[in-house]
Amino acid sequence: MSDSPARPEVTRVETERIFKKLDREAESAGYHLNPNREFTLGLIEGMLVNELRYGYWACPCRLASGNKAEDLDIICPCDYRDPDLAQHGTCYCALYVSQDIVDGRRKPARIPERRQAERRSGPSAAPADAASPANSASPNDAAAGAASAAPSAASAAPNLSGLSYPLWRCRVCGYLCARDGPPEVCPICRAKKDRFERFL
Amino acid sequence: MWCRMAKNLLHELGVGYDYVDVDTLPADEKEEVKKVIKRWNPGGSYPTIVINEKECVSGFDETEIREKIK
Repeated sequence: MSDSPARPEVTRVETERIFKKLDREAESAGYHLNPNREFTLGLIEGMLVNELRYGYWACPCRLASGNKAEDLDIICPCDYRDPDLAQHGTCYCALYVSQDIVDGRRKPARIPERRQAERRSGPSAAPADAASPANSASPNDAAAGAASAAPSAASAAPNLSGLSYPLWRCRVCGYLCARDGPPEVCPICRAKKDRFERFL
Repeated sequence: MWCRMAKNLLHELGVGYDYVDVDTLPADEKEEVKKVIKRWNPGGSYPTIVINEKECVSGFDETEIREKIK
């Protein structure tokens, strides 16, 4: 192991700076960082090390491939954060926690990895094709697919094929917006543009 | 971070251990080590702690580690 790449150095000042930024953004959007400050700083440091290694914030508790397209779903905040928060009260690494945990009514604990399970069960995990909705051959087919499925719906249902704008969904938090393309950054969870998929 | 906590706990318990930081390995070694880890812990999560080549704790669970190390 003598030729192992050295672990890049991240300063405490930089880690603290990102901590403050993430804390502010989380609280303004209804999320919470883990109240164990030293633990949280350790996770953030791991993320910053990954940024120096790979160029992006790969989850500090998962083994990244170094290939961004392959790792897109585990760039923090990961695609699994919100369902894990809802089910377990923490995300996989416990950087983000639920109100229960902030209030001390529940303790963070090891949770199962949702990533492998989802990747095995669904085709929606192909991140390179993030603009395409799951089970749809191409983005252009989405409107037609929705229209052909519509006859079973009540007549009061909106005519989805006649949308004046496409609908984009943030894969991290579920935020939806109707516009020509996804925003640069999700206004709710701060995930970047490449985490959006075309929803309709 | 959970790996760091696991190392701290092992240190506190005073047990001897070897460790590999898989994320720092060169690509070819990383693949080999991942295979070994999957044999013990099919989920391949970290930390994976193998105790006396007999038992394994997948992920950091303080109670389970204390229990199995007794």
